[in-house]
Amino acid sequence: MRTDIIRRRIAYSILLAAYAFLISPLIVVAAASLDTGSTFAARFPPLTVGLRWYLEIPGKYWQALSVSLTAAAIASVISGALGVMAALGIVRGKVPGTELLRAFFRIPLQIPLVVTGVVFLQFYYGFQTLVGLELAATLPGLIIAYVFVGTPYTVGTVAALLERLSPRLDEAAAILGCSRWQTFWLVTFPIIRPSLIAGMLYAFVVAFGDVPLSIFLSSPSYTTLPVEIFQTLQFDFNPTVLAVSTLVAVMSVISLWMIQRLVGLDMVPR
Amino acid sequence: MARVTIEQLGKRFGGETVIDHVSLDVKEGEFVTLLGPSGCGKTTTLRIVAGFLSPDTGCVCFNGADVTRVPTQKRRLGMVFQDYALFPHLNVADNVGFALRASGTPKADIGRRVRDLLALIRLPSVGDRFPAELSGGQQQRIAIARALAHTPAVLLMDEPLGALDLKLREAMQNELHAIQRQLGITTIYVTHDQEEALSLSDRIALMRRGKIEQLGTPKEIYGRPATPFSAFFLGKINFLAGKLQNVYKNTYVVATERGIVRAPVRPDAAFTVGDEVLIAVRPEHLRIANPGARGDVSSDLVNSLKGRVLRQKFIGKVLQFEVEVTEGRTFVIDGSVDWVSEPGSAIEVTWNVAATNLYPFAIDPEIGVDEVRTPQGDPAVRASTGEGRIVPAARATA
Repeated sequence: MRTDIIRRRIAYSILLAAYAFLISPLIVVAAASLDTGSTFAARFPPLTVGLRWYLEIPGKYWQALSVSLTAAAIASVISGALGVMAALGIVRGKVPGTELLRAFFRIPLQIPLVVTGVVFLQFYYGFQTLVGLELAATLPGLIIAYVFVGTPYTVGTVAALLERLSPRLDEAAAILGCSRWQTFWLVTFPIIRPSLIAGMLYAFVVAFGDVPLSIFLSSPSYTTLPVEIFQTLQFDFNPTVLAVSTLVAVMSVISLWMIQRLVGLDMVPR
Repeated sequence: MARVTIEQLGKRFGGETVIDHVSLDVKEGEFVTLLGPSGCGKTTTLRIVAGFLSPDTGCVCFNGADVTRVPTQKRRLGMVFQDYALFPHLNVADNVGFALRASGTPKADIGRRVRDLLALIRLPSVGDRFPAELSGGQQQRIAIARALAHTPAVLLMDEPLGALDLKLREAMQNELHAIQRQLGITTIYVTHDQEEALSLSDRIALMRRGKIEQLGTPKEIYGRPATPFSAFFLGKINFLAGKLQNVYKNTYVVATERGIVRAPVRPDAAFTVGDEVLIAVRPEHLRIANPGARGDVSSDLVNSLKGRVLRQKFIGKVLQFEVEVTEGRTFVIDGSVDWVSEPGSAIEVTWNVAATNLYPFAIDPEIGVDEVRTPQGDPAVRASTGEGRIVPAARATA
């Protein structure tokens, strides 16, 4: 009995240590953002507590935040749609070389994001000279790039689920009078929805937090939040950046929790 | 209800013929089983009827109308799958009512129909549960209810009881039988389980290598198997090779290595003297006699072979004897528990001439009629490779 208790305590301590290690940077930033005194460096632990920096967050952060949210949200929806189609094709399609296709859809994950950024920038410049349409430092330009890096996640999560699904389900639906379209909406889609949402969430998070790719595709007047924070930290530190970072972290936790409650990220088909 | 006609169906996968000119006529309300070993084409045939596959040749007709090119969803079918294929995201009531919902039936009607069907399968109170919360047998009953909800014209079943354990399978067989009779729905059933086929079917289409080997009622196929394979696949059978020596008073006289065996002349199989033949007799027709106990064993009505008991096996209702009748060839005999025949004892195996079937001899390792071992190195008889089990009669005795 005693050894049992000791073992459990050791396990708990390891767990706590792991959590502490993961969360402590966030705690430091959040605590430092509450310090109302220091203006030139983060101070931890804070000496005074107040919301001064939250009230002084400059408008450019809000604007950058809205760019980031819009681009990441639209990109994750497009990634989701493309991911479902690609996964259906890879898993269910009777096309030769599905393994090759699968590898093809993983490529964006294997290219360093900096390289992807350079490629997209060059591509957009070339596109502009050829067609005359400006994509660099625009919303569509960001969305296209985010879709590129986000789709592998949706393809991956949806394909993983489709693979475990009995192909008889589609046949059963057809026998019961469903056209292919009805089969998709009444059977396939409801079953893959949790994994689709999980994949879209990955795509969103990757896009929303991205610096290396976005830094090439933004300009001083049109930029995303992580790039803005990055620039601030690099060139002129201001404690408001701590406040913004904390806000984003808190928002992420809340939205993740809500998604978990509403659709469940780990729900697998029974 | 519909009559299903399959005509000259053929299908090849990657250069391999899976089914080869299969024709079958299923009458209204009839229960027909496609029976056969794996790879015989029974499932492919069913999937063509379902519309999941299209045949290379031939056609499928429902009530005389060609549906070969009609998509599955317009064929008005019900189907039960081996892995149930219940929709995991829907509860039982929504699963059962799925076809009605897809066709836009009013909610109240769906509810009523679902209740009736759940009562039919005797699971009235599981409507709000999810498939994963039910046992295999319950899930399969739900799958049957789901397949019947839209009153299909034809019910297809692909090894529906294959995933269930023995006891449950027997109970489900009875249930299936009762439901099918009650509704009188035309049913095509696929299985590799001969007992299931025998107990459920109006007719059995025994398939092998993409062809129908024999089509008939369970009694016909069991009692008068048309080929050695039919005899082998339904029930148990003992084979012995021999050579036709004489035809005498409506009786074939066959010489085997261990003596003469008689078989009745039947109109559907004609042999001429000198033919290599295969003698087949079922274990339940065999009896064990002590040598010399009957003076009468050479009677025209009873066949008799000398043998030695190898072992006896108690399998419940019968005591099974394995008797070596020729070297390397054993007969299985269904005996009664009170027969006393110790392993090693010399006995005589007897059976009625009327219970003997004759087939043309052909090597067929799958059914235990394999490479021939020649006693005298007769050039006409193939040499043995490995353990031969069938020994045709030595030509010297003929």
